[in-house]
Amino acid sequence: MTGSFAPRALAVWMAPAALVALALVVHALWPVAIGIGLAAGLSLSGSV
Amino acid sequence: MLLPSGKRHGRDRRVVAAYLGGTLAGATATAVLAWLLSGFVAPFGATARSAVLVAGALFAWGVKHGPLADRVQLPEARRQIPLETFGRGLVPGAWKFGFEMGTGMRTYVPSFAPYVLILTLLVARPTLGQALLVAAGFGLGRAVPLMIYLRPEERLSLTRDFLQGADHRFAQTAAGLVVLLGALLLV
Repeated sequence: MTGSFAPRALAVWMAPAALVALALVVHALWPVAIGIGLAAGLSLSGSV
Repeated sequence: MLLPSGKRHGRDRRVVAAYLGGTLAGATATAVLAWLLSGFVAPFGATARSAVLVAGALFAWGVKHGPLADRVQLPEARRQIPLETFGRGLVPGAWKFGFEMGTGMRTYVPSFAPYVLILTLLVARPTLGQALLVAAGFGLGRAVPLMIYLRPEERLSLTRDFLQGADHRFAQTAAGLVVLLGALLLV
């Protein structure tokens, strides 16, 4: 459970949250579906 | 890593494309199966399904990152993807390796977010289109590190920073919370 974020890496990590936030703005669920899948997939990225 | 360090070659792009195709296919297989099984929760209302989602997410967080760690184990395949996967060459092997990684069920699961995601597909009752988009996001997320590695500049440092971030407790918890928030929107 160590590590740190570089700004560009953080930008990648923020993408799912941005998609979910976008869904709240545009009142559509497709960004939510992509965003939650992306968040879960990214969370496993350290095991590649 | 699938890609050796050093100068990038055209073959590397084919490896990454094959890996991405595999992760997308594997994630789609899991998502469709979970979507089919979600029919069993049809009799339950949105409130009950939301409560199950929140309770399940809290439990998974507690097991993976919280006070239940080392006391309870969530189901996961505690093994590495075998080297035999690459027996027919790097590009076909990358596809198969990606498929196994994309299913989310064939190797270690160090984060609680994928558990929340599968619970979402089972309990939130998304449409088939939404389930397929969830799979696309998951497959893409699993392939991002290799895609980053193809960047011509600073690929080593950027990949290292990204992968270190993946082990960060804050990142794991934030990812799971994003999944839970999104799941509650889908219910």
